[in-house]
Amino acid sequence: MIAVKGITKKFDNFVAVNQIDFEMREGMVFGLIGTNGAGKSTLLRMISGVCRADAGEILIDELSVYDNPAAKEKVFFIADEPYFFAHSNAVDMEKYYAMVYKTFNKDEFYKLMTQFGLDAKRKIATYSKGMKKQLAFILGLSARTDYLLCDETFDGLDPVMRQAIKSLLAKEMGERGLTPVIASHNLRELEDICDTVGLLHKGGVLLSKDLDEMKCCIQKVQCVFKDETEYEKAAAICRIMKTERRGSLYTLTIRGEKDETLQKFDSLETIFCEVLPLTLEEIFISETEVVGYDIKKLILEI
Amino acid sequence: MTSKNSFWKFSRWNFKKRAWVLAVLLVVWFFALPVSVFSKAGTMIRGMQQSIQPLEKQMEWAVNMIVNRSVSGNGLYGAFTLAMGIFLALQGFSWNNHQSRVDMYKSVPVKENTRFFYINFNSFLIFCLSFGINMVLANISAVLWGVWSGRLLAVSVFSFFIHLMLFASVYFVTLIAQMLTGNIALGFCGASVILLIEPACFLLGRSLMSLFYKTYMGREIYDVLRKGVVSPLSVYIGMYKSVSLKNMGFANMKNYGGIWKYIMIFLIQIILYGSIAYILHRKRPAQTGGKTIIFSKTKPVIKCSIMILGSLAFGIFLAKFDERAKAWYGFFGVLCALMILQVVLQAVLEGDFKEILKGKTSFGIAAVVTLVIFSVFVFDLTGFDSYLPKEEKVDSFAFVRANDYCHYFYNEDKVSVSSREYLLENMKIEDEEAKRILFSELRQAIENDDYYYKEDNGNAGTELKKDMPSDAEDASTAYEDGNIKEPVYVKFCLENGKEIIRSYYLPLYRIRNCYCYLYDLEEYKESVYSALKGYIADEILNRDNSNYAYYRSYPSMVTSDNNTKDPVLVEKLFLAMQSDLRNRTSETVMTMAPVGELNIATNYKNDLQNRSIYLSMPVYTVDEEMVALLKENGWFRLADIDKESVSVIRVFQYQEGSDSSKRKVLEIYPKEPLFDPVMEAFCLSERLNDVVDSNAFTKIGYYVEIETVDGYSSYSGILFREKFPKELEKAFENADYDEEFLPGMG
Repeated sequence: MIAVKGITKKFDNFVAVNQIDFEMREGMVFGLIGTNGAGKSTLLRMISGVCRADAGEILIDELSVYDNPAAKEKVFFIADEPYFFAHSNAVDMEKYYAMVYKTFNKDEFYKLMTQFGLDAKRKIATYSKGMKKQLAFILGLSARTDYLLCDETFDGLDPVMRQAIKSLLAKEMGERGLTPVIASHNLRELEDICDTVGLLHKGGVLLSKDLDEMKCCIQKVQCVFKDETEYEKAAAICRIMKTERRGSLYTLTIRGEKDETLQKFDSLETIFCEVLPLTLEEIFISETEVVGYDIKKLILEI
Repeated sequence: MTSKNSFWKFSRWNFKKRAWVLAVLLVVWFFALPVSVFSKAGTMIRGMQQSIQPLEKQMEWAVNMIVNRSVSGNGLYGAFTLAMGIFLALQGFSWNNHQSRVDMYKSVPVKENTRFFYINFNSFLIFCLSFGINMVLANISAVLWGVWSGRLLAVSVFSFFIHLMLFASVYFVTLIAQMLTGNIALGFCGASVILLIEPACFLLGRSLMSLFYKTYMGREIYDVLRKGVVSPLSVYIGMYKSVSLKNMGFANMKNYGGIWKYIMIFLIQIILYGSIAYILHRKRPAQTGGKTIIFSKTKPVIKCSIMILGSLAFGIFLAKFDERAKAWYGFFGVLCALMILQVVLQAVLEGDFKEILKGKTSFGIAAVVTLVIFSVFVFDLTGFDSYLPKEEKVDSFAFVRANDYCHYFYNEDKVSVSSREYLLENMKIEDEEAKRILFSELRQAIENDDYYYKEDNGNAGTELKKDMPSDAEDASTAYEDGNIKEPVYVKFCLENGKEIIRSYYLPLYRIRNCYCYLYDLEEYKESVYSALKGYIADEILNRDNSNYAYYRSYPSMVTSDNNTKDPVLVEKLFLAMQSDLRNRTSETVMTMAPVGELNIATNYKNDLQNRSIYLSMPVYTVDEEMVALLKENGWFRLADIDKESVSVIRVFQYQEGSDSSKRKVLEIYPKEPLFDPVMEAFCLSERLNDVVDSNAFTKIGYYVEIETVDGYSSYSGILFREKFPKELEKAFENADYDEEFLPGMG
């Protein structure tokens, strides 16, 4: 388990991460989402031991991570721009990581390289951005660590590759209990794969829950009220996070359980009422709107 | 896997990655060492075949040359080592901290210590291998040519360790600069600043003293730089100068005793800078966020340091444009530089041009400190010029006239050196009476504010001009009024070991008061005359050297008869010279003119190459031993100019005015009334005396040429003051100015 306890990180006077607490349990896929500049990459860097937190602690299987090879051996960090040695090829990188990680599996590496259709002897400088990400991912999987931290790894991959990677992750999770932690803006992809999601905004955690649980707690209701006063009644009895209106059709994002919400709407006079599934993206937008990260505001300000 | 195993494992891997650097450095040192040795040895061996010298002697000399010139180290080796220290430190830092690599290097399971140590270990290994292998090859080259010796090996090893220490110190300084800054370019600049800041302080101090202090005596630049202990450059220069002869680098093993102080300083530097670099490495954040200076608390320190030094430098630069208004120019330069540096440094340190108006506090501090420092020198707030140590605290002193250049000086290694520097370094007069006289004269000069050069308006100047009367003025009056002055250099050696050196511009009569007593002291003569030094005598009395002596009597020209290569005679003449020098008194040299000069020369070989010692001493009629020997060999002639052979005397009178110089010429023919008096007063101006300037008691501004009837001989000189015919002055009053005279053309 990765336990993040009261982590704070500042860069001069700017607070990048502020008092973050959560846990990443083994065998689960943890999705780290957040607004731009929320602190996702900083958090991942702290978890992987690249930088030290100013306050709090990060424990990987009860081991403090910073400058601790024993803890770092359990983690492989794939940065958003992975670094490869100058004038090197994949074989050189494999040798380096094999030297660094005791659990590195060379056979696995070459097998994955073949599967992904990458030439191990070709200079990495000639790879495309997507190919570099694939290589980084292959190295990460071959290291056979317990945890795999991916910082926007999916971004830049084609849909086929994304599916391939998701499949591999699932396979690794099943076979050896790999725990991926994935930071991405591609919420559509994350939704398919993540078990737990942490939403960051301005250095803090807005929410951190199982995805299913998250979806259970927010409902999207489409309805048509008999008259305006019914909407106001609804607003009074439900915790409406967001309201969209097109003519007489209301689309309401409401915090609460599905049954509870339906029960409340039963007491209202509606011509039409339906509860729709909420995507992760919609949850993200709704939750961040609550804290003022609102597209309408941004457009008006621009 | 243990950390020790992983250290070696990563070290090997890192070394392979950096093997290209090793290859490049091997090539660089290859040309600097074995190729150089091979080439020099080959040239020397081929040259030996054409020489008549015994082969053993030639081989010995060749071996010494190889040791001294090829492997011992010189400025070039120091420069190479410095460059390698900086380069390898930048490369090592880049491995550890470059932004693009940080995510990878710091996320993998390798301890920070392990990474720090293996990268830096490999940097040292690269240097040691490149330099060490080539040093071995250099020795092999010498063996191949048959010019190898145990001394070559010893010097090679010593040179290797010296340069290794320099490398280590420079390396860690560069690493510190890298840790403090956000990128390699700034780190390189920072390393340069740290390496040069101490030498810069010394040089600026020297420049300020030279510019504003009237009694400051400039020392050789290396003597200033070698005093430092913070900069590896200063320590290296100090070490080099304490051991080295010219171009011999560290080959002068006799001087190794003095080097331990510098080795200790180097070791302390290495430990200190290495520790600081390590601490900064641990504290340095992985993410620098594009900042130029990582530890913000160091910014004002860096900024103030650079502002203070840069402003002082610019102030000095501008002050040199106008000697009379140097203070104003200097202050103006300081203020301009402060403002310019504020803008530039703020832009660089903040990485943003819009931040140039920030940092007012550091600007204020730098401005105040700079102006205070500058004022201290401009207004001599410390009383440097008028300072005299307490007489009772002075153990010994040196008193050197500017004109002492006329003596040839050789140091213990028989290398010709500046007589002024040599005398200041080696003269140590301990006589109490001499000290009392000196202090008395100096105190009075200081009290009368008459101890430095002044321009006509009473302001201090630096350009030394002889005071020339604007009209024919009696020299004795000028002399007694203190208008005839000369520069002298005084060094006080205090009982605590400290030395204080001053340059004074004193009235000649004060100098003469000191000299009249000093000259008769044996310790003074032993200092001033290299002919009295044991190591010089050893060479001249060595009959294997090519010794040569000749005598030139005044006013005759040198004839081929007055010379000898007979070592026995040369030896006798030299011993006579020594004896007469010791017996000579100040009375002799003050009141008599020499009748000739005895010159002795010898060729000798030292570790450098063939050298010559050349001594030239005036001979007076009271020099009994020399005169007796010269007479014995028929060389001695008390020759006056044969008046019958003189066709004309031309006397030139020079007058210095405020605007220009003028000249009058008087031609005096035989049988004219002035002919005999002028001939009587005539004195060859060569080597009139070696104590005080000839102008002390001869007429100032008069110059005499005598032509003989045959047209082949001519003599030039000046006139004795005591015998100066006053009728001559009257004759000049009626003479016209020479319209063809151009000042400076003679």
